[in-house]
Amino acid sequence: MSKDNHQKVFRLVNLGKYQIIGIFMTLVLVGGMLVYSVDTANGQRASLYWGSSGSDVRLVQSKLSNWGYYKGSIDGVFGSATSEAVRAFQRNNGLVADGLVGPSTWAALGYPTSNTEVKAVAVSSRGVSQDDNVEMLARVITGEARGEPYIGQVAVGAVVLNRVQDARFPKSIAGVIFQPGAFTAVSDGQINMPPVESSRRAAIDALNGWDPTYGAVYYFNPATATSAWIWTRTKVLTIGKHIFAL
Amino acid sequence: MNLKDISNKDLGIRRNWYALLLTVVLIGVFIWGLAQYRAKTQLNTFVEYSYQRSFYELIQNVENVDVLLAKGLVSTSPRQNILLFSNAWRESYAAQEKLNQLPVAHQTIEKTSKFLNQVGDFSFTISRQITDGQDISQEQRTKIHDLQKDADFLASELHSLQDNIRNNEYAWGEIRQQGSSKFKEVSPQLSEVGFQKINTQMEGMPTLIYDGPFSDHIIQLNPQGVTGTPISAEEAARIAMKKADLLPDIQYNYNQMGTGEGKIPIFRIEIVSSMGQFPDQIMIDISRTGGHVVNYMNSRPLGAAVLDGIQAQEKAIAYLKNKGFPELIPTYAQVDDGSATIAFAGIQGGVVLYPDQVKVKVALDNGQVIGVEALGYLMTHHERNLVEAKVPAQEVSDRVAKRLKVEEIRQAVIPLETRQEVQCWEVKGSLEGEDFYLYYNVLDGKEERVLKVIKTPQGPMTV
Repeated sequence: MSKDNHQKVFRLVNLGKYQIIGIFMTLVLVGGMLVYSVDTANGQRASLYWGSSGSDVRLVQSKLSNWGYYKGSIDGVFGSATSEAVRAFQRNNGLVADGLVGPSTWAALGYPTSNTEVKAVAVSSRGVSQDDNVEMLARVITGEARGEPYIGQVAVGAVVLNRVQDARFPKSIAGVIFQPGAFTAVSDGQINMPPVESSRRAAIDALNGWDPTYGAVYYFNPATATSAWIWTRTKVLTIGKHIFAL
Repeated sequence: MNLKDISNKDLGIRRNWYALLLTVVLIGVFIWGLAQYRAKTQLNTFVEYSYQRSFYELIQNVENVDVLLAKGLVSTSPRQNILLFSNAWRESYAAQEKLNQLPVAHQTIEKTSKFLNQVGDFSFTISRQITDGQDISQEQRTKIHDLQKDADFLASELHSLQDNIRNNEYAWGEIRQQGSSKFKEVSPQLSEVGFQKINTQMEGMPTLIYDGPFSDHIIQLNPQGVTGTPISAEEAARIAMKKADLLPDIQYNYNQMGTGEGKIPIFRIEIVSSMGQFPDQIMIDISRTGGHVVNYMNSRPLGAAVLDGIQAQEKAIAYLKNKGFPELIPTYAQVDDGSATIAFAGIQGGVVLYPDQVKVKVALDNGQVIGVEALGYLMTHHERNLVEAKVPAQEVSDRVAKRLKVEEIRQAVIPLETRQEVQCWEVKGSLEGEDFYLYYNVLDGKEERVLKVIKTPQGPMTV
């Protein structure tokens, strides 16, 4: 009897293998969908400081490393090198250089922690105003140049406005921004993220007439540019990682 | 015995239950996948049609430009001509808009885009000229004729491109996807080739010079306000340290940031400090000729505002005076979060020179000047040949009083869309609490421009 019973228990487990795989796959599928929807809704991120560690630190390090602020290894430990890099990044983005990764620094890195940024930019506009243009420009700047020095952010805004004035390009800000293939940030959807604080200031400066590019209508990152054509343009100057050209 | 019975039964139920669950999940996934696929197909179709629509409308618009210009050449009635050229203006602008909505690389359409813009611009100039009572000159006729031939060529090329696309059952959506993918080896797409061909042929077009904002001579303007001799990078840095609004008792360092080769060649100097609550981050551009401040920007964080717009304006006036800028008068101000931007204009013998504009940005936390934009001033500033007004101020003021309450009148030089300048009487008036600026030519009293002041939360803005 004991043997018989044992066999049956064994059979139950044996059959269970496939069922467990089935249930496991269902869980992965459902879990994946959940993660996907949570990811698009911007999760909350904790503040990071000297001594913090973990995947969020690794994220900050790799971002800062990509943008040339951080030279150390991406080890997920917030040490002096990371702190120095954060400070340099904050200085260039018009933030208080305290070496702390709080909500505003997260936002400048491209990871808004809450909806406060959205509220700050959703200024109600009635009738005629410049608010829509500021908002649209700020989004392009955020998508294209949020890791750039402040003047590089103004420069991206200025390029959009220079295109509006140029016969070869569409004649409205929206026309220029949404021209198919014109801006990477528009093609890959980065334009939909809430604008970082400095990008709004940069957009207003650009609309007020500041043009650090002196009429440039193109810019590109020499490290990642794939088109040979872009190198044939007349170079005006370099700001941060971008070359601005006519 | 009892135990055996239970487990046998139990096993059966469980087996069925698992099988059922698995089937339900599979069906669920299948339906979900199908719905996703359908949604994607619908979206692709929708995008495809909107591209096709843009392309068809582009052809239609170009054909209309062709026909309207041809009619304009043969028509002898000014009334008819105004309508024809106004329509040609509208049609070519619409064509340019449609062209830029197509998913092709910008460099393959830029010449065509420029052509359409200039045809529109040129037609507008012609129609305005006829409205002013002037006939089309022989030279202009030749130009219209050339433009009409080009439009005709463009229309026929677009037609053959359309035939090609139709015969090859080619979808616009595919180009967009492949063009953006990493596989650049993919043979050049049909439309890309088509537009490239048109673009190359458009390259042979002569430069078009006329009185419009997109005219070629305007793009090739030279700076008129840059005077003086070439300076060295070291001198530029010294000037930068002198002209920047630096705080007392703080250590500043400067770095040479290289040069810029724009409309005005510059040295770029960075001035930084590490002291204070919000350390200054200054970028300043000094012209390589004459050492003028062209562009100046301090991107430090801004503290809580303690000054208002009027106090900021006083700070800006004091800064311009102390730092030896030429004589300028404030024209309007705009207040944003933590800062105010004040626009100044040049002045000559009491006449405001609006084209010679300098903008000064003041921080509202401590009154420090954190930005200067003088490119406009340096591009246009020169000694103007001002004339005696032939139309008296009273006459203009009386005319405006019929519609608006006149508040102020003074003389000003304003730029037109064509960047030509006209000397005007500037009349500030109000109607139902809204402010307007009206401009009348001092020579013949013609109304040149109407501006409306839009009051935004950030301050007045003129449109």
